[in-house]
Amino acid sequence: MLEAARSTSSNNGMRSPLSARRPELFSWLLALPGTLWIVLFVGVPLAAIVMFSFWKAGFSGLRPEYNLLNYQRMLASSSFWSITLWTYQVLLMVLAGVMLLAYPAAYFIWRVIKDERWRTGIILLCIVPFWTSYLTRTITWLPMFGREGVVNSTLKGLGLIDEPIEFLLYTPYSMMLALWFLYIVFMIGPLYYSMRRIDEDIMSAAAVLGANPVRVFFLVVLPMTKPGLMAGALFVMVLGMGEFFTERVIGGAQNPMLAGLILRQIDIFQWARASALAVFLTFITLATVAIMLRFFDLRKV
Amino acid sequence: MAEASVRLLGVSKRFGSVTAVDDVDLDVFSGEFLSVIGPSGCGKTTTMRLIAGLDQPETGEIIIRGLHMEGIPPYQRNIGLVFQSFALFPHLNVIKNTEFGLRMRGKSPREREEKALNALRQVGMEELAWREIDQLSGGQRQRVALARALVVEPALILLDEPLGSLDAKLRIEMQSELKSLQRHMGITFIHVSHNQGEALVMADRIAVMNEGRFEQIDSPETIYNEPQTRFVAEFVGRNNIFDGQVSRLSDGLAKVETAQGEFLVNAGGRSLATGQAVTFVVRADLMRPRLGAETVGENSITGVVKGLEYAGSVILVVLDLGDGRELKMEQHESLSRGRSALRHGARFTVDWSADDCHLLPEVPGAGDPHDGPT
Repeated sequence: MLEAARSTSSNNGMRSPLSARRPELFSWLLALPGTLWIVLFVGVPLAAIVMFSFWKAGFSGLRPEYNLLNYQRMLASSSFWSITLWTYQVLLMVLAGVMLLAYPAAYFIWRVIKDERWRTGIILLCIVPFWTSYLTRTITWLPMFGREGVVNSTLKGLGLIDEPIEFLLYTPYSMMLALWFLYIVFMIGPLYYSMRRIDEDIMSAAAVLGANPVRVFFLVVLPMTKPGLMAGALFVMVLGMGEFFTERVIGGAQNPMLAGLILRQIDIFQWARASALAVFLTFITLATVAIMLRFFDLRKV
Repeated sequence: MAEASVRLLGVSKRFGSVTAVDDVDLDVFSGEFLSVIGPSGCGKTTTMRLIAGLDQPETGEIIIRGLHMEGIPPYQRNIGLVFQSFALFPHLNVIKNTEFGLRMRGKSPREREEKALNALRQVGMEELAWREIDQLSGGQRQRVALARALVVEPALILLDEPLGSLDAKLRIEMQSELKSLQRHMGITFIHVSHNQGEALVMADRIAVMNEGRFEQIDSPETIYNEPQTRFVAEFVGRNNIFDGQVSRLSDGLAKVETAQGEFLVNAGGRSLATGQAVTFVVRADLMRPRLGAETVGENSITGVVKGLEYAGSVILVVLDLGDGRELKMEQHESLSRGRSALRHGARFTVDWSADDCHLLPEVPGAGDPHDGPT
């Protein structure tokens, strides 16, 4: 009955002459601009990079001499594998930290803030930093954590330290902090959204059935926000795979991740090797997403 | 039926400046099916939430099975609650939903499964125990919600518009099922609804609520036939309400002068005085159309047919009496079939007897209806 009602309502909807006469042609035309755009700006560059990765690079630039050397050297290098491992280590720590930081924040906005205007305001505050560029947000940490930065001078002014704390900048710790800051909003958003979808009656039902607040959280809220956690995790992993700047500027450029390694190859004009790395990075990013999607259904978000 | 399962004493609940529940007293007996009906916003859902412990009353006491509920959170009250939205856990399948309450009570997995399957059997859902919630129809979800409430063997089950989101046919089916289930298990049911038909079918007693107070708590028959307040007369059934003054008294009959004319009313043993202001009610289905020349009752009124509404086998006729006054008449459809008189704009006379009139024990025009004797 519902199906019938739906189909009649769509029939009564907007009716353009073209779409009525040739529906298949019309929908094909609708899809055309988007398809062209993707082919032009995603497909072509991607194909070019795959092609370059089989070429040779010299001082005069790329030479179209097809070979597998770039891949052979890459896969044989032990530092390449340790950088791959390091990339995953960093991303998993970023993910864990972002989840632990974002969950209470989203929960707070959902449960504690009752006024819808305040909720919107706080969400907006989380988003505002993202109106500035990624580079600006990263560089912001320099005056904060530098030897003469805000943190050190404040602590010094309070007489808590005599010498500036060195590990605030150019260490994996400072890099981790900056990365959490960069990615937390990608977790708060989907988490808050999935929390909002939990019906108040469901919480009440659990309570009346005998669940105390702790059990309501672990048996109802947490499982029901799993799709939000996973969506946030997808964002963090995909974006983090391309992370190169934070490691350079805040992390002290000592421990590059995969994207940073690509940049270093470009720095020394190894375009072909950089391309091979880029193909590899694209491949493992897709593989990571595929594995994550196996664990949950994105349509449930 | 003697002992009270739930007792409300002077319970009030305010939300900001709105008094949702206003100094309410209520006794619900053990094993009773009580329906609380009223328009939306009358405080019935709040009353239910107060009993469940989901909201706290500002004043008054709630006593369940002799225990004072103040300070006792919902998860320690051992109550079953069925929501209109069903509020099933979407991440758990049917049996996991059903056994949730048992899991909270620390029962072993074996006992949980056994009891959950048993509860599902009672609502006819045993075969679908391992289905996911999003694979169920509305009626099936309703049954799971019921099984989930039944499985913990609560002494009290609260139902908040439990059939509200079901289609008409299923609703009627579930009404009799709910009723027989309740009889069979001997559990106290408090059922909250804006649908009087549901309450009239299922309830042992009906409490009619308006503006945070109970207007009348009685058996369905009494509520239907002898409303005690104007509000109940307006809310339950289809009634014609007449305000007037007693002009003459004889043999237990009163002649009442109203704006629509003079009518004979059976005083029903009430001692009335001449000149006394009274309000009486005549059910729409007791109004009889005058088809031939002979009158069928002591009273009659003539009007113009203004509205005709078919509700299955019953036809509702609205007569325009002039001055914006209306008279409602309900007739079996077969009685009016082929009668040319029953059409828009036709003049029409209806009759009713003095015994069909029910006097309200309320003084009309006394201002706030709460001030009248209820």
